[in-house]
Amino acid sequence: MTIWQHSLHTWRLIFKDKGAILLLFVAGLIYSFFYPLPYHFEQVESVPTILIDQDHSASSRNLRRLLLASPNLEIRQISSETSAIQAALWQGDVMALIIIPSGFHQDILAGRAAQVQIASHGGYLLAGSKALMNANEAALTMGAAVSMHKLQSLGFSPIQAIDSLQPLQLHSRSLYNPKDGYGHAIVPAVMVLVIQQTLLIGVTLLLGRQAELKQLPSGWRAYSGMLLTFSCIGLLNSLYFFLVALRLQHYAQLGPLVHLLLFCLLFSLCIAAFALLLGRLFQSRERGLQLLLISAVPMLFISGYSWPAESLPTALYYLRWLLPSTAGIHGFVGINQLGASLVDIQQELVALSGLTLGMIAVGLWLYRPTGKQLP
Amino acid sequence: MSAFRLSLSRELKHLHDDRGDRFLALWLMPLLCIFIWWIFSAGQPEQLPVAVMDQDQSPLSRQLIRLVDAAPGVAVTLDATDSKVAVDALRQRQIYGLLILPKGLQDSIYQGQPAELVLQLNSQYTTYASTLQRGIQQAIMTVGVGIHSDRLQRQGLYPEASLATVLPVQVLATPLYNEGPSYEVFLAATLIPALFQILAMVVTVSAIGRELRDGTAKAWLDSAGGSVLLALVSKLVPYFALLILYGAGYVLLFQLLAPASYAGSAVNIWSSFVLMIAAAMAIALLLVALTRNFRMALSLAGFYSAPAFAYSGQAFPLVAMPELAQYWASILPLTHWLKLYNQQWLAGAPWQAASTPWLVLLSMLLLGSISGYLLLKRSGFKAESWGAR
Repeated sequence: MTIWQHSLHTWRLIFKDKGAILLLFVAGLIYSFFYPLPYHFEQVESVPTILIDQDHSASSRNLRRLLLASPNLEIRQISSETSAIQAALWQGDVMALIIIPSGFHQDILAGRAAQVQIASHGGYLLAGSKALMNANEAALTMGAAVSMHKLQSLGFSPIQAIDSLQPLQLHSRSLYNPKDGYGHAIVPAVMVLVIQQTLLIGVTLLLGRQAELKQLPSGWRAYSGMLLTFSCIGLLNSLYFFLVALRLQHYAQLGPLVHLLLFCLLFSLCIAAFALLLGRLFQSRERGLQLLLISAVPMLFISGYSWPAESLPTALYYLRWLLPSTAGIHGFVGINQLGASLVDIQQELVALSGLTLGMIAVGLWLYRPTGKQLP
Repeated sequence: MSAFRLSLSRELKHLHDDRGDRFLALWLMPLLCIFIWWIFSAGQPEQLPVAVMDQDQSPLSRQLIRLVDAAPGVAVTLDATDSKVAVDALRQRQIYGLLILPKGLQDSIYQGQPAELVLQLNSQYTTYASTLQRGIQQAIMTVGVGIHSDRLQRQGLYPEASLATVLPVQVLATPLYNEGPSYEVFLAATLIPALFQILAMVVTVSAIGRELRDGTAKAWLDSAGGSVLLALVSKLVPYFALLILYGAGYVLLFQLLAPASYAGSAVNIWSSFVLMIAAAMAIALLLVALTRNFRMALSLAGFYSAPAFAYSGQAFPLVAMPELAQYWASILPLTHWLKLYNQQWLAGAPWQAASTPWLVLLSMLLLGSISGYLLLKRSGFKAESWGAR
């Protein structure tokens, strides 16, 4: 058989196999909507917070007004009983606690630094840091007014006082993900994993069955034919995710289209070669499902995306490149979200090309004709 | 030999003979636990690369750069001469932030004018961006306070009084539980249970699905003396025992790694962990009994459990999710167990506070196992239910 015939034969096998169709074509469609769903609103819009005012003064009421106006705090009124507050924190009904201690007003009047306490549940880091940020802003706003007043009383002119308040002003700008959306950060990376994992599992399902039937083809022509078919499926899914799903859900797509297409091509080839390796190793239809379902989460975290690569153990820092998803995540996020060109993702290109060549070489060796197989 | 022991030894023999299934049941989970812990073993993000563009080249700007470099989590790795170099480096992810110190910085400060610094962050890489923002903001604030109180002192104010003038209202932040906050505890300790839930479902579907696929369900039932209940219990006991044993290992590992983070009792959290594993296995039983197809049941178990962490509310809070996502989250055992994790283990709440999650997990266990048992009993042992791929 020629390469084309092998490729066509593989397509036929796929379309006769409901399980393979489900994994190779349908799963991606479903996941493209199912996975981003929890992050639909992108932000922690409101952190349920308890405010305890132990001071009951003009200053504390002032701060309370500022906190009520904070964009991400939802100040809840619960009895001031410690036990009720404790219970609300335990149940997760409340995630942060702001205390204005008694003496707050006195401290301000006396020119001492007045302290506000904020405590948040350390298990919910995202909500806690959001609450802290909002409390900080309210405190700074109030502090600025107090300082202004004080500086003017010391003889500064209003303009001098304003200038003097914050001699160094830091303006932070968020590039690429301007609203700091949680979904915008995580979903494009997970899409790469979904493309990879559905292909790996679908292919091992198909080839595992062939192995059971002792019909797993061998020889370089058969290998190339299968590689062609599986690459096409990887490409189809990549194009769906990055040209359709990303746009439908209003994620950025900044990079040059040609560069995106070229990278899709290389990534598809790489995951197809990877799938063929695993397909040769797994001897039954369900083995891939059994072993690979659990691997997606570790793969995401060793890629150096959600968890900084600089903080990985040294060995993992290098070993992570042995998975196509690592270069895939950084490459696709680079092109789509950062507007990178192929030049900007050189490192990923080199890693992915090297990996593809290596896996094809090993694949050709694994699929060499042994004589025992059918012709 | 009793029917239970006969059926149990039949399952153990299978594990002994089948290398792949043995790896799945025996080795995969401990390996993954160690692997996940290893990934996060640094505890905190450190030395994240940032560039500075020093357009001022003054003693003050150099002092600022030194302090920024010394800030926790931050490493100044690039001295960008022009903005093109810096923006390219940002896009190429050699750096994740760019701090611009404008020309005339020192002069403005000496003249009593405010100076503006700009920090550009790659906020697509959120952990980088937030760590850099925090560290750099802190460093610059420190210098700013110094400058301001210096000025006031020259006007004849005392140092303490001047600090209070700069920041008259200060926020004192204290994390209530999980002091640190250490990522090791925040992420690794909550990801591992998500993997446990996946594996519990996979091994359960596999053990039962295999018998249906191979048409050996009759032999399996016969080995248990014809009792479906006994057949199920004897089959699942080895997997359940291993999973809860590894669960104990997981609880102990983190209790030892971060004793200060856990206020609650290890035994308490382990017992709810056992319940979560049982609930996940019960739902897996239901899936395989419903489909009577090994492959389909595995696919469904994957759909249900693989994205569970994203829905669990641990990384992204439940209150911020759309209603539909909250409903989905509520049918995952992991969501309820993580609630217990936060409440019982991290916060050390009394066990009475845990009643709702416990009851939910318990009803998942009962619902899944009873309906799964009935479905399997009705149609699982008929030849027409076998052999589906």
